[in-house]
Amino acid sequence: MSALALCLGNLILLAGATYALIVVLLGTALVPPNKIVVTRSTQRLVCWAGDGLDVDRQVEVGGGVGPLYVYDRLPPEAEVIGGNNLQVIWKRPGAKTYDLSYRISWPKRGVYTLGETAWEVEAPLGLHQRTRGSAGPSLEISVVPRTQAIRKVNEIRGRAHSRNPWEDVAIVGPSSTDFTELRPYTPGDPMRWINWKASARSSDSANPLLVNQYEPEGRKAVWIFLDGPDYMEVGSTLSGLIDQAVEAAGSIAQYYLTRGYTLCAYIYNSQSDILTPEVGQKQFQRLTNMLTRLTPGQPNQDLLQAVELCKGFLFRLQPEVYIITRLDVHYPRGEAGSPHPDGFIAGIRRLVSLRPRSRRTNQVRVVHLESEGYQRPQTPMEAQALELMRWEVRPVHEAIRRSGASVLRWAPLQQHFASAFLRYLNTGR
Amino acid sequence: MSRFLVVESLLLAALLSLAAYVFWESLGATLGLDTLWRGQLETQESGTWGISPLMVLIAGICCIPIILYWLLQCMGMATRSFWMVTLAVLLLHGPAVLAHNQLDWASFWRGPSSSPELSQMTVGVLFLLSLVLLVTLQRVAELRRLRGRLNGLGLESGEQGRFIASEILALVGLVASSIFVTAVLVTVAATLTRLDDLLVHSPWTVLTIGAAALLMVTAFLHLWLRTRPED
Repeated sequence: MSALALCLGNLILLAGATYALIVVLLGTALVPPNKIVVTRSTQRLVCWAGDGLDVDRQVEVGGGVGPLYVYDRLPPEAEVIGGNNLQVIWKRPGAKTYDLSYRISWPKRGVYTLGETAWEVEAPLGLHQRTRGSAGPSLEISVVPRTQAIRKVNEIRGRAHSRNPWEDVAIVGPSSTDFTELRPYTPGDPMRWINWKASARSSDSANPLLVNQYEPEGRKAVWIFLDGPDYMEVGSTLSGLIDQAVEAAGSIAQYYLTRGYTLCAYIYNSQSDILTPEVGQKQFQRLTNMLTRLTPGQPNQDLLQAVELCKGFLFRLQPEVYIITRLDVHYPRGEAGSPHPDGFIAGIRRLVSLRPRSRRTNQVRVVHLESEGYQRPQTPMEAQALELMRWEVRPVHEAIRRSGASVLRWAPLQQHFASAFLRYLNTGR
Repeated sequence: MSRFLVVESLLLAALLSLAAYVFWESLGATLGLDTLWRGQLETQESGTWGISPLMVLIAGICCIPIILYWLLQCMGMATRSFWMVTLAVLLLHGPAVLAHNQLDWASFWRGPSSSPELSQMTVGVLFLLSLVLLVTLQRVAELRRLRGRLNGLGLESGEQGRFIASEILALVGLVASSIFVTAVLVTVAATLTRLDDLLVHSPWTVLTIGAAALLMVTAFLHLWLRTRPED
């Protein structure tokens, strides 16, 4: 326009060109916000599923004028429950510091990565190109599953069938100071166990030495087998059957650990290690960590293989066993990819057979998670299929019972696990 | 209807009305259209209204670009729609502006030379006003899109309002300062024309030294601003 104005000697065009030039010059002279430093902090890196976690960000801007967008790259499962992740600031001249925070929650357990804090700036009138950047390290947040503390519930009444399991003592383990009995000396017994006075009084020439037998320290052990393949992923992505199975495992573990039991666990059909026998709250944290990282995959192991893998521990500890699974998937359909039915029942038989014949009753328990309610039939055919699945549970249930185990049925959408578990402990059903 | 849509439509209407007025005043008399218009008004009976071809022309100049603008906006061609309006406005202003050329290229090529109907001041003010409105229109359209984006990102309306208010403040500051600087430059230029006689009678030594001093001051300012330490 300036060139045309000069060629034509046109003052009006020249004034117009001058105005346009000044607009562009002033727009360009306004530098967008720069020298951005973001510091991010959270109260903790571990939180319960469903709990809120505050994320605080401090943004320092050195200079410039214009809009500044700040946001964290959140995983899709995350839910912002307070404040706003995206913050838009109109930066005024001079160095400024902004404190921006928001509250986030994860409805589902897992290990999530809170990505870097990203920022975008642009010049006030859009004459500069938009600049993007990110700052701060990524944060790894462990969202641990919620477990329900199992206490005595008033509404559940019934005759106690169990023989006070919290008073059972361990079969193996370090000895306590509680005297049990005198027995003949066997090679390997510590010298300090020999009861010299009793041995002197003994008239048995074949076994002249008698030793004090003490009760082993600690309670009995409990072992949890959790079935963790993709067929447990029924329901919504936020709350599926696998999450209920995790909750059940956590609740059982908490129940026994608070009573001094030794806990062991193994998630079969999953890339998981054996949770070796330990007691106490740390063991619960180890289990929680294992359950948090559980990612269901293709079934590649049946219960029998899992039992064979853990046989050494099982034989030594003689634990009470809980198997958490869905029974309808163990019905022998003969489909490719479905778990081998014999493997499941054979696994239970193997577990029962690992115990002495006199102590086999009711020590292996299968927690059956009913998937009804998670699957909503859309067509009459699907409704029939669901009905069929309900019937398929019966023969598997019967086979388990015949194998010497019992079944705890739990419908997660109808009742809390604590209620189902207490009912089972009280009534055996 | 969003406030931005109202403002945008009003700006469009103002721009096109100004352009139509300038076009009418510069070419209407030349083509004898104003006579036709006045004749029609005089021949009409009092209290009755008719539709003349000129009314259709004016309405067309105002309405067709607005309709096209919104049509292109709806089709997602926001930039093209703005440039279409800019082109229309400049074309309509063209005859009035070009009538004030100081170099008469038309007579140089032995063509018909145009005679200005509006004064240079009027055309200049209207032309600058149109440019100001065009800049504002462009920014308002940007703000409308920005508001949509902020809405999509889930920003609360209060925060949106504060953000948009800051943007509007920046726009007003830019337009006001640009007008001020332009006005200063035009005034200085107009004042300098009075010094033409003075310059003719000035010795070359004074002119040369003055020009060199001006260049040196400019260079000094430039270097000083570049080497100034950052805040």
